Amino acid sequence: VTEAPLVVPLVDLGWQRDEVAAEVDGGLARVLATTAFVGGPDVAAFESEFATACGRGHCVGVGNGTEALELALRAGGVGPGHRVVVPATTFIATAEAVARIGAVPVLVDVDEDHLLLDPAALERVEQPVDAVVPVHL
Amino acid sequence: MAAHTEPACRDLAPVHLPVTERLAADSITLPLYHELTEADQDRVVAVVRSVLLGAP
Repeated sequence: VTEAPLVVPLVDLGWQRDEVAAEVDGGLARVLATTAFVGGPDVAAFESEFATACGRGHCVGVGNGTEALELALRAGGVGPGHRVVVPATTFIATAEAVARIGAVPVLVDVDEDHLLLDPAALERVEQPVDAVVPVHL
Repeated sequence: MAAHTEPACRDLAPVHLPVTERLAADSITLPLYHELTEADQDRVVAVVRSVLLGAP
């Protein structure tokens, strides 16, 4: 008898959805009803409230963290062919955002104690380095 | 997981990252998410203990 292989999904948001479904269902229905699929009053309200919560003047809502990183890199002037250092142990989105704008992720080793980007390893990276996404956890 | 050893990174210039490679070889990922129930946490702890200590 062969057991079926155990499938572990990379991401399973089902439980998280169940936890907040009652709270967000009304908002989702409102977005559908007003056909505000991009931007719209709910996104504007979120941007305003989140900026206030963070003590900042502005906020731009995006679809996910990868997009946020991509926009931050582009805003910082990073473009095709640029070399961008990322820690070797970070989540895939860090390197993915770099690749999505045509830049080259340069994976750099991490510090033994904190498992974050190792400044000494960073100093040994071959030049040119156009940007560094240090990632703090 | 050491990203630089994964197929997705095979087009990047090869690098040797000793700390990352050792971490990847020495680590296992335990179930960890904010809906994890205490009962499931207890089961994870029990399994890890039984594997490491040989006790039930």
